[in-house]
Amino acid sequence: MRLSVSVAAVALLFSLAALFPPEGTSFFPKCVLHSATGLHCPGCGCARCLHALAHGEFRQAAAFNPLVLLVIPFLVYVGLRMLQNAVAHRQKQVLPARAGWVVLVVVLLFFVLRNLPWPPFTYLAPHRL
Amino acid sequence: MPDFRDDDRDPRDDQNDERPRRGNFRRDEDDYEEDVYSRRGYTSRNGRGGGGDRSTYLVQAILCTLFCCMPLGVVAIVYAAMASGKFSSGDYRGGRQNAESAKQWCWASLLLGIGVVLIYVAAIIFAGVDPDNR
Repeated sequence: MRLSVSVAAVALLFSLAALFPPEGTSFFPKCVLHSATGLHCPGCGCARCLHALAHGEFRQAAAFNPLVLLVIPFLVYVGLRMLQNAVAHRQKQVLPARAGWVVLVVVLLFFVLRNLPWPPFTYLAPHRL
Repeated sequence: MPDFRDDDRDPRDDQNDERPRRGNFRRDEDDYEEDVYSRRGYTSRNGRGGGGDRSTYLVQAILCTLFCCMPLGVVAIVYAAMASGKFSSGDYRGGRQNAESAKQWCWASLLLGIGVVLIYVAAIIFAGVDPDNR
């Protein structure tokens, strides 16, 4: 039940990001960390990414936030595993034990890398193609 | 549901305490554990710890980190990772505690993210802060 609530919330966010015109409008809040320090947090560009996805522009979506793009199949995988559990009436562990640490490392690494000012890493920061 | 099997019990015999008691009584070994995770429903039921609830809140923590508030979401991810590690190594109580912590940090991240949005909107409406200063 709890997971379905978060799925519903994400679906709502996605539809909001998709329906409204590009994020040049003042509807979407600006990331506080970005406004205060200029850094890109791991979620920076997620709204623009979802907006691009909703309009079918995958390369542009990857240019805004590749991590969010990777999280989507990850969520699908987790959802399928939970479905598998529910259908088979068992409680197998949905993700391997180390998955949490891998996620943590990936998120922190992404946060560090996308803020480096040198060319290979600047492609991780939100940019318009 | 009235328990008719007890109709023949003599209250004077309850001194021995040898009949198995039904219901939600705490067993003697529970008296040594103080937290909720050692009560019925949390102890081993089918050979695997914890009655099967192995949710680690990892997915929620990831979503909170990316969409709500990054610092608090990262803390939630840390607790969720610790929870999954403990579940796999058999420490069910520690895993449940870490999962509860992950859940609380997820809520904190969500509330802080929403709070920031509200403050931002209020600043636009009331203080005339320029929304286009990206």
